[in-house]
Amino acid sequence: MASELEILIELLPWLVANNGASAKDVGDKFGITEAKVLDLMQLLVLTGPNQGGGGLVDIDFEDSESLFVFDSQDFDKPVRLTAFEANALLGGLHYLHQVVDSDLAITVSELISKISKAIPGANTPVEVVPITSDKDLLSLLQSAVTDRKVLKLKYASLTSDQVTSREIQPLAITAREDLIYVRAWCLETDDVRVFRTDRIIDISDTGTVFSVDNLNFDSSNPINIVAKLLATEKFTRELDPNLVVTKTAQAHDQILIEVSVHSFDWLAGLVLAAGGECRVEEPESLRKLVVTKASTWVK
Amino acid sequence: MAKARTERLLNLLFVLLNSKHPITREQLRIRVPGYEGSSDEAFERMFERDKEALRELNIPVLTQPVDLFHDDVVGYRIDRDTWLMPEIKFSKDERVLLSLAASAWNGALLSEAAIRGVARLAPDELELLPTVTHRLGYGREGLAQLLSAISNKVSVTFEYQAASSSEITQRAIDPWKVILHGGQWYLIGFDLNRGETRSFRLDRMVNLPVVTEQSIIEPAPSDLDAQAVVSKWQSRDAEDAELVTLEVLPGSAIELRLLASDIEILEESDRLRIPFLDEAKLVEAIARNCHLVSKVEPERISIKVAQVLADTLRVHLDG
Repeated sequence: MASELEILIELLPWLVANNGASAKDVGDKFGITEAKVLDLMQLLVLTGPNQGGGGLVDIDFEDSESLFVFDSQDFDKPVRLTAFEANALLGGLHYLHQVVDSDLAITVSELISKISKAIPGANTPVEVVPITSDKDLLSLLQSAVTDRKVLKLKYASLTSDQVTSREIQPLAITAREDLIYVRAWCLETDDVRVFRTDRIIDISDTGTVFSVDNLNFDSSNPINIVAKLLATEKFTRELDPNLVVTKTAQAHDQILIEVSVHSFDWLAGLVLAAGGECRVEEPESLRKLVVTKASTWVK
Repeated sequence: MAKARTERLLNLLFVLLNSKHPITREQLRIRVPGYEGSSDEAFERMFERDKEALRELNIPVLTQPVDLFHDDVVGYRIDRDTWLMPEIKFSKDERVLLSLAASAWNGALLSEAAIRGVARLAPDELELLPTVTHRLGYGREGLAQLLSAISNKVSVTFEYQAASSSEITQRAIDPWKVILHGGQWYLIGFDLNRGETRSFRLDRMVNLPVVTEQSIIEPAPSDLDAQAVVSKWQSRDAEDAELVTLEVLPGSAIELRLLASDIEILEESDRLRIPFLDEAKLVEAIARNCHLVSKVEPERISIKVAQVLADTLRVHLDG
């Protein structure tokens, strides 16, 4: 729990930069109540370097909708980042540098040098070597997102357990750890699908252009299937958050997770490998599938 | 902290921050409300405590001679330039990227630190991006401890299970860098007991790394090539790689095929040979595809897969 002084040290420069913010904004930002914010304002205006003539902090907080700092007594800049904060941030930037396309990567590296210069002692102690180092593939995907190109793909699909050919309309490139994914409209399934770039076996530009307006994102999406799993904290932590619809804590440190997936076969595989870290609650057909598959082995 | 004390500390802070020259105790006693009316002894006690309280918040309260010719009289001031952020201007694009970088971390400690950092670097950027699409640090809680030790230049200790043996050893390391390479997180640093540069896989650390208060002895060389260190130890590991032989239904189990170094087509099945270092990951991959796999050599792996599946079956047949 941060002391009042710790909060004030962060709060005053922030308010200078966001003059006119409401007491509620400030409260939300610093995790305190509106009443507490006004309390702290009251305290601030009693302080300053010189108690006689004009040496006090001056804040208008009569209207809690709009707090206004007239004089911060030169405490108008935020405190410097600690080495840990700077390194956590630089680590995130270095990661972005590896997984975004080349234009953005230039901006990111300028940003890294800007921050490194301003914070002596920061040294980017995080390095990421992406698995897909194929820059040609990445730049083709990026240009397809930007210029709305339809691509033809040969893809090793674990969901259907075969190499499939399909046409996709790439929508976004995302990354998780060192794996890079492309989120795309898949013309075969008529739905949004996510493809792991290191499982793309072959890719080419079809020369056609697509329009995002024609894609029906709000379709009821009959292919999506929802299941309920009762899982341990460890299983939940390592699960792709994009699959999780809801999470509810249960007794014995267990978590009830509602997941939305494209394939029961794939989900059954996840459950099989969890070795009891997770149990299918619903639907019954998925539970049976897991039992049938596991039984082929355990005799 | 009592309100009166917070007020006094703030006043002290403002006085010290606004002065270009060191201020003596006697001057502070007059200028800072809250010190007045106290006895000499009480004032000394209060002031010592207040000074420490500010320093505990990483506020650089400097003790300096009041003038160059009389170094026996000392005063105090806060050096604005080392305490407060220098002015850095960011474009809109840069602010968005900063937010994205800060929210990339999956571990709570790291993302909180990074988000605090952005709030100070770009305080007028009110909202973080709602959709985060680049995520880092899955299920690797130890990253925060390691990054904290690297930042503070102190050594770490942990129990480690080497790839080549099942023996668990206690390690003491001067940490230099963490690197994500080939799907694995590694710590690069100087092994204080073995006296050499080494890499350690985070998933082989048996417990969370302990951040010690011991300053590092061996700083990172300026030309440190973290990737080369990992590759060197990986190739030593690779010599220890084992081979598993599986038979799978013809044309099936693509996940396992992608791992295979060679595939032999038999009459009623396909035989895959898969080199592996990480037994747990291999066992999981076989378990996922268990209905497609018929034979597994060596038997040790087969038994482990059977164990995982038996556990899965047990929780699904209970009740």
